[in-house]
Amino acid sequence: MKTLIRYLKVYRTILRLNLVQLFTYRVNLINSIIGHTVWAAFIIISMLLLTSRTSSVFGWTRNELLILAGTYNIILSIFYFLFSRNFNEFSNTIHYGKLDALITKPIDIQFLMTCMYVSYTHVIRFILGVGFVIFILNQMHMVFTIVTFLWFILFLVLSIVILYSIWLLVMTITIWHTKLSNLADLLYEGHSVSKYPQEIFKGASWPVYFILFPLTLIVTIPTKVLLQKMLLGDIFWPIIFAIGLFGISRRFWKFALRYYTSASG
Amino acid sequence: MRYVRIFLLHTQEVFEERSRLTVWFLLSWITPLVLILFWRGAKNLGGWTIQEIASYYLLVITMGVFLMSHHEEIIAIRDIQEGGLTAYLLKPFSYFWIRFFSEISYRFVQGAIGFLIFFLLIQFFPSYFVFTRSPLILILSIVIILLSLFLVFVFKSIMGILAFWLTDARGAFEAMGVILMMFAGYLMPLAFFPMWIQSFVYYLPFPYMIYFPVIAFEGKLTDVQLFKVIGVEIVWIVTFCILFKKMWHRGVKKYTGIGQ
Amino acid sequence: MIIKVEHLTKYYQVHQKEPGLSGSLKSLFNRKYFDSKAVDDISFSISEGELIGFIGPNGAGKTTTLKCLSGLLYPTSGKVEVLGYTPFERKHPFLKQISLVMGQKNQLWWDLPAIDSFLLNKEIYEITDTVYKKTLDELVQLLEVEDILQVQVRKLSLGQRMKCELIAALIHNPKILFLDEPTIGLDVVMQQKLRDFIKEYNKRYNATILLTSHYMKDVEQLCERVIIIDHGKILYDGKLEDIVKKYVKNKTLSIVFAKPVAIEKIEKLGKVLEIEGPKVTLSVPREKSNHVASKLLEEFSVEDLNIEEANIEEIIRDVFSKHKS
Repeated sequence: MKTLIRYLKVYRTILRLNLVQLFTYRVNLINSIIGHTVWAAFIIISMLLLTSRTSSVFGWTRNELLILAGTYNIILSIFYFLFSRNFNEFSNTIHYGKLDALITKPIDIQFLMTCMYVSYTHVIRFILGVGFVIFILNQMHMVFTIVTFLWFILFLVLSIVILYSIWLLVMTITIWHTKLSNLADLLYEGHSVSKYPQEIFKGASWPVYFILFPLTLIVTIPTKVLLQKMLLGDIFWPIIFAIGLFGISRRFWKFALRYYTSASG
Repeated sequence: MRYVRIFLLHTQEVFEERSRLTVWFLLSWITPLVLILFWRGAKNLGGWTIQEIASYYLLVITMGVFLMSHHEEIIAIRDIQEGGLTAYLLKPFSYFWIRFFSEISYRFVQGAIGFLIFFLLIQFFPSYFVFTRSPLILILSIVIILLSLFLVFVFKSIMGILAFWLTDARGAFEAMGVILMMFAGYLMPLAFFPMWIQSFVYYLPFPYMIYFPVIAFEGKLTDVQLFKVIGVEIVWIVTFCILFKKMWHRGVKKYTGIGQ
Repeated sequence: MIIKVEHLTKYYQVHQKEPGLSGSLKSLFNRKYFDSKAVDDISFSISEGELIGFIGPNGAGKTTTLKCLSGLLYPTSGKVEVLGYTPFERKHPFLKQISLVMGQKNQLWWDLPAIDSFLLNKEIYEITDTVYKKTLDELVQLLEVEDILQVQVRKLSLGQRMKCELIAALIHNPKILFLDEPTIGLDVVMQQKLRDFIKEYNKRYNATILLTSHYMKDVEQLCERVIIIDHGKILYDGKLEDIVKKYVKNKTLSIVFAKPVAIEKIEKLGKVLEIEGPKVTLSVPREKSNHVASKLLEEFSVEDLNIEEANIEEIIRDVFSKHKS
C-alpha cells in the first residue's frame, strides 16, 4: 500500500511535468491535434469505404463494423496517451546511455522506462472515438446498461495490459539491438490488425493466426460487449493473455536488463 | 552450449545489418495482407475476383516502393528548417533537379527490389497475379508508371517546400499521408468506392500516383482509358510544376530574407 | 571503510574481426574471441569523507570501476562492498545514498526548466518538503544558479546545464557521489567554478566523492589521494604529493647570474641542462636541492633563482609510458 502511494505520487509529478511540456510548444500541440484527428477520422472513413459495397463481412453488419472501428480508436487512444511515447523513446534511451541514469534511481526501472512520458493530445482521439461509438449505438437502438459498461471497462483494461505487454516484449529487443528503432513502426502497423473482426483471421495459416491472436482480441471482445454479443468463452482469453503476457514481458525485460548490466561498456 | 552461443552471435550479426530493412519490409505487408483476408468475407466484390483483389494489393506494395518517394521530409526538415538549403542555393544547379536525381536513384534501387519480389511471387503463386499480356497495354502502362513517378516527385516536392511557411509541417504531412492512403489506392481499389466519390476522385491527382499505374498494369483499362490517364497525368504534372516554381521563388525570397 | 573493493575484475567479451568482406566471411565461420580486461584484479578501500581522483588514459578502466561501484555493472569476479551493500543488487536503500553523474549524459528534461526535473527526483527519492527546500536552497546558493532554475534546460549553456545536473544528482543528499568526467567540454572558468563547488561540497557535507577526469587540474586541485589506472590495473594509489617523491628523483633549478661565472664550478653542484646567456638550468637530486640553492646564493652573485617543482601532468605521462614499455 505504501509503495502504491509512493508510485502514485511519482506518477502525479510525471503527469504534471508532461502537462507543462505540452504547452511549451504551441505549434507542436496544434500539429499533434491535427494529426490525431486525421487518423481517427481515417479509421472510421476507411471502414465506411471498405463496407460501402457490401452488406456484411464474416457475419458483421456495417454498423457493427463501425462500432469496431470506433472502439479501436478508444482503446488505441488510451494506450497512446499513457505509453506509446515511452516506447518510441526506448531505443534512444538505451542507445544514448540515458538508461544508466535511470538504473541508479531507487525505483522500478520498468516503471520509469514505460511511464515517464504522457501524450495528452490523444485525448482528442478518445473523445472522438467515444462520441462516434455512442452515436452509432444510438442509431442501432442498442440498450446500454451499467452492467455492459462495467464489462466494457474490464475488457478495456485487459486490452491495454495486453497491448502494453506486447510492446514491452518487442521493444525490449532494443537492449541488444539499439538500432532497431523501427520496431516501434512495426508495432504501430501491427495494431491495425485489431481493427478488423477476429473472424477474418480464421482462414489464415495457423502460425499467422497464432501470432496475431492476442491482437485480434483487444478490440473485438470489448466491441462484442457493447453489441451484447459476448459469449462465455470470450471472457477467458483476454484474462489469460493479459496475465500471461504481462508476466512474460516483465521477466523478459528483467532478463534483458541483467544482460545490459553485465555486458554493456 | 558454446555452439548455441556462437550460432546466436552469428545470426545476430547477419541480423543486425539487414534487420532494419527487414522490419521495414515486413511492415509494408501487414495492412495489405489483412485487407486481402478481409475481402474474402465480403459478400459483393463489385465484379472483381478474389485473385484480382489479391494481385491488386501485391502490385500496390511492389509498385509503391518504386513510385512513392519520401523526400518531402528531407526538404522540410533537413534543408529548410535546419538550414541545409543554404549550401544548395550557392551551387550553380537547380535544387529541384538535384533532389530529383538523388531521389530517383533510390527509387530505381527500391524498384529493382520490388520487381524481384514481384518476379519471385509470380513463380510461387501464379494464380494470384493477374496482369496484362498485351504488348501495347504493357508499353502504355510503362509510360503511365514513369509519369506517375514524376507526378509523385513534384507533388512531394511541393509538400516539402510548404515548410517555408509552416514552422512545423507534421500536421500537414499526416493529413497528406491519410489522403494518399485513401485516394491513391492503398486502402482499396477506387472502383469499390461509392459512386458519388468516384465521380470526383478521378479529377484529383492522387489516383494517378498508385491506383492507375497498378490497374493499367493489371490490364483493367481499355486503350482509350489508358490514353486518358496519360493525358490527365500530363495536365497535373504541368500544373504542379508551375505551382512549384511560383512557390519556390516566393519561398526562397522569404528564406533568404530571414537569413538563416 | 565506506567502500571496499577486493580483486575486482570486469571482462567484456569481444570478437576480433578482420577488415573487409573476406574478413567478415571468415569471422562467420571461425570467430576469435578474446576477453577485453576493462578492470583487472584491483583492490582498494575508501573511508568516509575522502575525495579521490581516478586518473588514466581513455579505456583505462576508470568508468568501468565507477559503474561497478554504483551498481550499473555486474562484476566478472571479485568483491565490491559500498555502504555495506553489494552495489549490483541495486537495493533501493543503497541507491538512495549514492549518486552517479556522467559528464555527457543528462537526466534533466530537455524541454522543461530544471526546477521541474528536481521535483520528479524529490518524489522518486521520497524527500520531505522541508528537507527538499533546505537542500535546494543550499545547492542553489553554492552553485549560484538562482536565475536559471526557471529557464528551459534546452536554452542553458553547457556549464549551466552541468550545474543543474549536479543539483539533480545531489538533491537527495547522497553519502557517496560518483563523478565521471564532470568538467568535460566546459570552458576554463566554468571548470574552476565546478572544482570549487566539488571541494566545498565535500567539506561541508563530509560526502565521499570519487571522480574521474582527463584534466590533471581537476585532480591536482581537488584530490589528496589519487588512484592511477592503466590497462585495468592500479599503477599507483596514494597521496598526490607522494607521487612526486616516488617518481621524481631530481629537481630543476634555474638561475640567472648577475655576472658571468665559470661553468666548471657550477657543474660540481649538479647536472647542467641548459646554458642560455646568464641563465643556467641545473638538475639536482631532490633532497639536496635546498642545500645547493643556498650554496649558489652564498658563492655567486645571483639575480634570480627558481626551484621548479616538476609538473605533475608530465610525471604521470611518464609513469604511463614507463608502464607500457
